[in-house]
Order: sequence, then C-alpha cells, then structure tokens
Amino acid sequence: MKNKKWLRSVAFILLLSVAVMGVMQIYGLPKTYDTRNIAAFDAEQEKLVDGVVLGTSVVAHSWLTPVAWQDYGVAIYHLSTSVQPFGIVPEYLDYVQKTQDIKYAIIDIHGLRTEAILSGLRPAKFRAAYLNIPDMESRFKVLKALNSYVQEVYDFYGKPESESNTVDLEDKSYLIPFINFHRRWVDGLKKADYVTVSNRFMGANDRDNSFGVMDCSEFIDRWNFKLTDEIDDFQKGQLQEIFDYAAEKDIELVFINIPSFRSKSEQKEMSEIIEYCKSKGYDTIDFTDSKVFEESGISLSEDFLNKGHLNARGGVKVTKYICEFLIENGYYYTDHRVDEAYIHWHTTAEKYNSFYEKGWAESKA
Amino acid sequence: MTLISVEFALLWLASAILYFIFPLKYRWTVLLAASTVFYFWGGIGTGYFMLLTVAVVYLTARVLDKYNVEHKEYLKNNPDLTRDEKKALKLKNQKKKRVILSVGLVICFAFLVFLKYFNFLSQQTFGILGIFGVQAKAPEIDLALPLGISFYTLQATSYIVDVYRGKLRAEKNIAKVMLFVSFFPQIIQGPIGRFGHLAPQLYEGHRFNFTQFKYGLQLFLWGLIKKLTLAEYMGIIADEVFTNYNDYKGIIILIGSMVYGVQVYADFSGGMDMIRGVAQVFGIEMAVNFERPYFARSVAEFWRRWHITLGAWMKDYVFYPLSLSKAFASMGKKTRKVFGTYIGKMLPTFLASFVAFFLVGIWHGSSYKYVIYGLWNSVIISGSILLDPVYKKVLKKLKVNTECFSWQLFQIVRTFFLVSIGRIFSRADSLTASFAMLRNMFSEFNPWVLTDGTLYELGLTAREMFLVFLVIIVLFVVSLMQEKGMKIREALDKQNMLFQWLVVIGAIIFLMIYGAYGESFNAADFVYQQF
Repeated sequence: MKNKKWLRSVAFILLLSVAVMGVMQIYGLPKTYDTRNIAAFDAEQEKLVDGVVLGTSVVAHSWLTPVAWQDYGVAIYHLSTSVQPFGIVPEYLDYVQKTQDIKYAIIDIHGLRTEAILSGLRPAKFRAAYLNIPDMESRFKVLKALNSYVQEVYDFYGKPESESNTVDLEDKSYLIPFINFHRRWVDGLKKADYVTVSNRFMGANDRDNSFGVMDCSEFIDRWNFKLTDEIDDFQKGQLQEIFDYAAEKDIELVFINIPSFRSKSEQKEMSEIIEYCKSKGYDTIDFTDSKVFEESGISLSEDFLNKGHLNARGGVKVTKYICEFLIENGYYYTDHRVDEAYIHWHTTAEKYNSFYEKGWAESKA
Repeated sequence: MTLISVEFALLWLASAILYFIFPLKYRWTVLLAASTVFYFWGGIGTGYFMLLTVAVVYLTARVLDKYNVEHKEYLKNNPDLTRDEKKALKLKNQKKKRVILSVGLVICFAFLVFLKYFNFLSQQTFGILGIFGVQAKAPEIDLALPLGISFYTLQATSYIVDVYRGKLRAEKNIAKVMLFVSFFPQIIQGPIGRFGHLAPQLYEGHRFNFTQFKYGLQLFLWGLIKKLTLAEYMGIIADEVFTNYNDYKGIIILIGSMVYGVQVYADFSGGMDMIRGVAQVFGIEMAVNFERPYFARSVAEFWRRWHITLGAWMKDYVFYPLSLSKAFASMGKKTRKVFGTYIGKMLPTFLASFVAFFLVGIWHGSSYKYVIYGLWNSVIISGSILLDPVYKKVLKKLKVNTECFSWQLFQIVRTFFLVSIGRIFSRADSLTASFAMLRNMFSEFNPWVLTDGTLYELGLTAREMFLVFLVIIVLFVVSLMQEKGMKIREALDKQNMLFQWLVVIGAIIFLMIYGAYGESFNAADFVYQQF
C-alpha cells in the first residue's frame, strides 16, 4: 500500500473516531442533575476545596455551597448522586483528592440503610455513580469498587429476586452506556443531551423544585423510637472501610443524618448507624435528634420539599448548622472570603442569592 | 460466538492481521485456526459431529479420487480397448464408486437426520403406532444441534459428489478439507460453497489488497445496517402478528406475513453481506446468495434469486439427477401415453421439483409446516408452468400488454404476495397456527386498519416506523441500481474522497444511533442461524 493510502486511511480513522466519540457523548448516559453536579466540581480550580459532602439525593437538596461560602467562607462541595451506593465512598474521596486537598469529608448515611442498599442496586443509579466522573482512571476505580460492593451485598443479603434490583456490571453497557442509551432517539433528544452544562451554583440545587413546600408535621412520629438494635455486619464493614481509608489519608470524618421521613424502622436504623459511628469516636450530626433538630431551626411545616428531601430553605439551615458545627468542633477552618483565588465563589454566591430570592418569590406568586 | 459480537470483531481483526503477516503459503492455516476458534468458542459440545463429517468426506473423496485416477490410468495404459469394453469398465468402476459415495452420503446425512429430525420422526412414528394400539413413550435424544450442521452437511456432501463425478480431485490434506467445511464466516448460515469455487481461494494465500479490504468492510457495514436497522424492527411487528395471530384479522395478517418477508430478507441477506464482507477482507469472494429476490416476476424466478446456493445445490444434486434419471425418463414416456405429450414431458420435472422443494422445506426444520412451506412453492411453480398456455391464451384474448412496466409491476407484486402466503407456513408456530392465520386473513376485509392507527399498536412507534420506511426506501433504491447493473461500491469509489468518507461515516453513525441493539434486543441471532 502506498504512503498516500496509509495517510488517507489514518485521516479517515481519525475523522471517524471523532464522529463516533461525539455521537457516543450525545447518546451516552442521559444528563441528569448528578452529571451537572459532578461537572461543576470537576470544573473547579485545583486546591481550593477544604471538604466534601457525600451521600444520596438528600445531600443534593441540602448542601448549598454558596451559602456555606457566603456566611462562613467555608469551601465545601458536595458530590452526591441519586441513591449513591455507600461502597464507593473511598473511591470518591480518592477522585476528589486528585485535584483537591480536602481536610474532612461529611458523609450522609441514608445510603447505608438496608432498604437503600437493596433498592439501590439499580443499573441507572450505578451508572450515575461512576459514569459521570470525567476522569477515566477514577471512573474505573469506582466501577471496580461497585463490582465488589455488589458482590458483598449479594453475599450478605442474597440476590434480590426482582431483576430491576440487580446489576450485572459485566454487561458491556456499563462500560459503554451508548449500547443501551442510543435508543433515546425514540423519545427525542433535548439540548441538554448535546451540551453538558455544569450546575450553576457549585452543586447547590439549581432546579425550580428547590422551592416547593410540604408540611411534614404529621410524620414527626417516625422519629420517635428507642435505639435497641445494632447495625448489621455488612453495614459495619462498609463503615470500617471508610474509617480505614480516612485514617490512611488523614481525612477527618463527620457522619450526618439529614432530616427525612422514611419509615419509622428506616429512621431508627439510620440513627443506629449514627450511634455506631459515634461509638467509634467519630463526630456525628443526627438532624432527627430532637435537640439537634430544634437547634437547626428547621420547620416541619415550611422547610421540606417532600417526605424525603428538604427544600432550599431547609437546605440553608442544614448547611449553616453543619458549618457552625465544623467551626465549633475545631475542624480545619480558614475564612477564604478574603482570598483572591476564590473571587469566582463570590460571584456564584451572589447569583445563588438572586436565584433563591426569585425562586421563593415566584413560588409564592 | 456470533457475527454481531465483540468477540467476533476481535477474532476477525486478529486473524486478518495474522493472515497478512504469515507467509503466503501458510496463510490458509490462519483461516483454519480462526475457524476452529470460532466453531469451538463455546466448548466442544456436539462439535465433534463436524469433525466426523470432515473425516468422512475426506476419506470418501480420497477413495473416490483413487478410483477416478485408476480408471483414467487404466484407459491410458490400454488404448486398444473397444468402446463396449470401455463402457463396461466405466460401469464397473462407477458401481464401486457409487457404493463408496452412498456410504459417505449416508453417514453425513445420518448425522443431520439423527440430530435434527430424530425427535420429530420418533414422535410421529410412535403417534402412528398409538393409533394401532401400541402405547409407548417416543424415545428422544437430548443433544444440541451442532453449529451450522444444515449448511456444512450440504457443503461437504457437494464436495464428495463432485469428486465422484470426476469434476474435482480430492484434497490430500485433511486440515484443508476441514477449512473448506468450517470456514468461519460462513459455517453458521452459508452461503453453501462449492469446493471448486471456494477451496482454491481458501488455500492460496492472498496478498493484501486495499480495495478488496475496503470493499469487504463496506459490504459488512451494509449487511449490518440491513440487519440492525431493518430486520430487527420488522421482527417486532412480525413477532407480534405471528405470536398473537388470533387477535388479528384480514390485512393485518397479510401485513404481518409481508413484514416477515422483509425481515427475513434483510436478516438473511444482511448476514450474507456481512459474511461475504468478512471473507473479502481476506481476498476471498464467496458465492452470492441473493439477487434482489423481491424483484422476481414469478415464484420460480424468486427461487433463482433467493438463497441461491441452496437452490443451486438442490438443482445440481437433487433436481437434475432425479429428472434425468432412467426411472423418471421411463415414467415420462408412460405418462405421455395417458396425459398427452405436454404433461408427460413436464411430469418428471414436476416430480423432481416436488422432491427438491420437499427437501428445501424439511431442510428448514423438522415440522410439518416446513413440509407445507416447501410444497406450497413447488405447487405454485408447477401450477404456473402447467397453466402457462392457458394464461397466455387468456391474456391474448383480453389484449393485455405484457411488455410494459405496469404488467411487470403486477407480476412483482403478485409474486411477493404468493411468497408472503408461503412465509406464513415457515414462520407460524405450527401448521395449525398457519392455517388459522390464513383463515383469519381471508375472514375479513378491513382496509381501515391502514389508517386508524392500528399499525402503531404492532410494536413500533411512529418514529421507528418512519426509520424503517426510510431504510426500505434506501434498500429499494440500492437494489434498483444493482438491478440496472450498477456496482455500488465501485461507483462510490469513483467519487471524491470527501464524499466517500461522508457516506461511510454517515452510514456508521446512522447504524450506531438507529441500530436495534442493546438491552431490549438480541440482535446477535440471525433467523437462518436456527436452520
């Protein structure tokens, strides 16, 4: 074959690869708020973040980076994903550490309750947990961790009978989501499928549903229980992996239980997890504890979006409470508001203020 | 391992690289190794039947070849033999050869019959015995059908018959015979190759040819498009109608059978394009199996364009040997006296055609529905030949112009309709189901289903329907151009480079986005793979 043909072939393959990659990007994993949140973290400048909050969607609704920044000068992002599998916390922290030098991690324990573990074994949730990570090395580490997590869950609890609650990470579509998601053309694609947009407010919920209100007063009885049981060995094992990792990497841990109204037994289980962490010497914040709840100022009638999540007003209260807790309890604290490197945080915080004011004004109207 | 799998792509890539690295003389060994990996990928299983077939045809061909050579040498060394002596010698030699050939054929077909038809035959036999009061459980075998047995058995037996006929010399290297029988792209669904055409291409080493390589990849891509953007979607509608045939009547049943016709064409011919494309990358031209069958103007012509290699096999090894046999000739003579010259002349042909189509039917599977499928085609073809003089008279009387486009179009539509009716037998779950479908089809004339949205309830959304329509248009235009004698890939090759690239990249992207694969499809299975 002549040189000209070789060159043409290489050029063709390059052009084809670009086209294929582009199409795979568009028709790959559907873009959700998880995508935008992690994209926002990924876009952040290096070595500016002091800590991260990990957990499920309760975190996405409750942690407001702009509020923590504006009121305390604290630089904390959240990297929550919907029903985030608990078994990937160390790998997520590893990913965070690649660009940031975090001093502490705040971990919500909703993902460790048995119901979340079992119902969370869903392909969409797993894909969201690792495919949104832009860094390929970290992505594969998370996938590997998910693999062993699934195996451990199956070994301990047994494989769920329902197919929708099982995941087969050997399936090629876990590596190449395009295999399954290319058929989204049947429903029609939107602009968001073509362009990945970062969350506008450093991960703070920027959707209009932040401003809904549900009166949850009638569910308060679900927080009324006595702690009687110990958490199971699987849960202990998951926590131990995080304890060990944090000790090795010199990251301080705070375990939190953001207020929500799951069933009474689930609420009890989450408080028991918090108790277990406390017994191991870690700081904890259980917002369902009446004293903490009262101190936080969260209103049952005004600060919930639904039974599972806080609205933006509730989020502000949780964020502020956690910041004060960190400062009062001697966690690393520097007020970065005077640092020029953080100038873009000011702008974002201001924009969030406008969004917040406007959101509530419109919701009342 | 199937044609549409990452494993196959890797095997193809690896074997192509090795093929062109190996010395010319030994390149066939790469093909053999790839074929062995492909065939035994899922384990040995019942694959040893293929090895036994190879051994049988190898030995049979060698012995037959020995007789052929000895016979020729004897004639050469004895030039003074009289014509009668030569004839007697030939007959004697042929008798021996016939025994050897029969043994070889019986063993090869015994594997096929035993594995594919034993359970069916056993059930039928014991069913009949039951009528006579013999109550016993029909014995059954529980063996998976060896991969591609229906295809490689015909391919292997054609080789020994051709050696028997003296058309070919027997191959001395059994590994090469194995390559001929098991060449990896084609073993699952054909085309049924002939030794004289395929084997020399397999054994001689081919130098890398960029154009062939490119054409091969393009043909593979075209086949994949047919399979994934047409066959799979059509299959959804066909499955719905054929599975729930009791819920549908009239035109929907007809649409279901026509859609199945398009599905099986896109599936099978798409598979063939892929297979030929794979082989072409190695510089091997495989036999063409389809020549735009839906442009056929009669069912007979349809069968000359559809699954050509099976038809050719039946013609060369069943139809001609039967119709030209002494028994059939003598039967023809006798019937001429009773039914007249025309029918007497045609009867042996009809009978031979009947047998050939019966075999085509049961080759597809061990069920009565396949028997009827074969016979339906035989009856239509024989009937049209028999009634041809009547048709001509009627057309003449009605002053129908048969030399114009509209008449040709009518013939094409009529053929498609007749073929589609036959398809009901091959696709329905059983013979009973196929008759029920026919009954449902003719029980109601309901043209409103074409416009009242019923079509959207057959499994495809409006967007998918539009996609399928688009692909059919493209397929039709391409077929039309081919029918006019245009060689598409060569024509594309003459265009500007950028245009060529856009067409190919566009096709790949189209396939990626609109192809029916992933969680909800099992696109790796081809319809003809099951036969």
